[in-house]
Amino acid sequence: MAENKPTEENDSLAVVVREHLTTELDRHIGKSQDRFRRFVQEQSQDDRPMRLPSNRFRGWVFSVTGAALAACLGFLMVGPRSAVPIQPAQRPTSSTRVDLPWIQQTADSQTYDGGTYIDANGNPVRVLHEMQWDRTRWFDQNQQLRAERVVPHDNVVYVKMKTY
Amino acid sequence: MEARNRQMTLTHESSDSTEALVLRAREKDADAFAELIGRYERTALAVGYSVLGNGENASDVVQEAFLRAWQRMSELKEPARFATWICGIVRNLAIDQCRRDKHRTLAIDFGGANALAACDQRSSPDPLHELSSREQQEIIAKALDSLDEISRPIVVLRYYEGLSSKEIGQILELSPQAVDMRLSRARQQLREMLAGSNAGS
Repeated sequence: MAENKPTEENDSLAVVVREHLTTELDRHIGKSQDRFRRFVQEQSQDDRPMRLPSNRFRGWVFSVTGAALAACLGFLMVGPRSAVPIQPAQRPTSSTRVDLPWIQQTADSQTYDGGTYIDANGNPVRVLHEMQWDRTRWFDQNQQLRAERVVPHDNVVYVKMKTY
Repeated sequence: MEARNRQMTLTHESSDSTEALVLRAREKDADAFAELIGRYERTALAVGYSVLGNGENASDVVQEAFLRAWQRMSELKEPARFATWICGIVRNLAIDQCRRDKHRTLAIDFGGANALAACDQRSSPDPLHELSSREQQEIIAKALDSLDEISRPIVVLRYYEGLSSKEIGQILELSPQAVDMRLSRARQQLREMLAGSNAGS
């Protein structure tokens, strides 16, 4: 290795070029290791099993999921009885009025965070959009009639936030 | 010289430990790969700089190159040639970066060599010693930039890393004789650019 070492390493040209390169490059030493460590750390976090949502959204997720599950179970309970197809001729027209016993009422709701705003008085408020669908189903076993009404509600709730 | 004192791992006597680190890194041993980064980051920076002519860009490219190397460790067939391999990745990424960067100019502003003339007018015994200001640094950067694609990394690896011709040859896949010849010509060219312009003025 020594046979090819430069003999000119301390001449003026070498000193000037070395000084320039040192100024230009030495400050970047260590960045690659730092980035690599961050990369590995991020990768290991990505490889972890899926986690539950954060506390902030956990309540909403569970309530929406629960409502959906309840609606599905309710529908399954009456499903077999309404499995018989309804003939077009039997369907009530708009002018036909029939009194059917209701068999199921469900309420599905979904709430999502609309962000934080400052109200007219300068107070910070959290805006929550609450969407709800009230479903009522009727069914007449004798006449094989089925009806459903869906009433949507869209509420906006302002929650005053604490200021410190 | 600091770079000289650093133990080079390109040589045969220390290539075993590099091989061992590479083999561990292949098994996704992050500490081993971090050790490899520590060993070869300077060399990689030198190669990146020799293509890009800019320390910031070279650093970005080197960081990206090491991440790619980590993800493609299985493709390295000869662990002892890690330095050559990583420098090849750096060089390819740097060339890609150059292609993307349309604003980069390879033209040399010879007017900047006036700084050398100013140095000489102060009757310095060697005007090259006077090159310290930022402006003068830019002159050196441009002078380096004027070298051809093969000579530039040779000069940078020699003067920044203090590598021997053999070590440079291993990285750039050149013979030591070719390295010496290129280096000699490059030195002559640099001298002419930095000092010769002084005589012209």
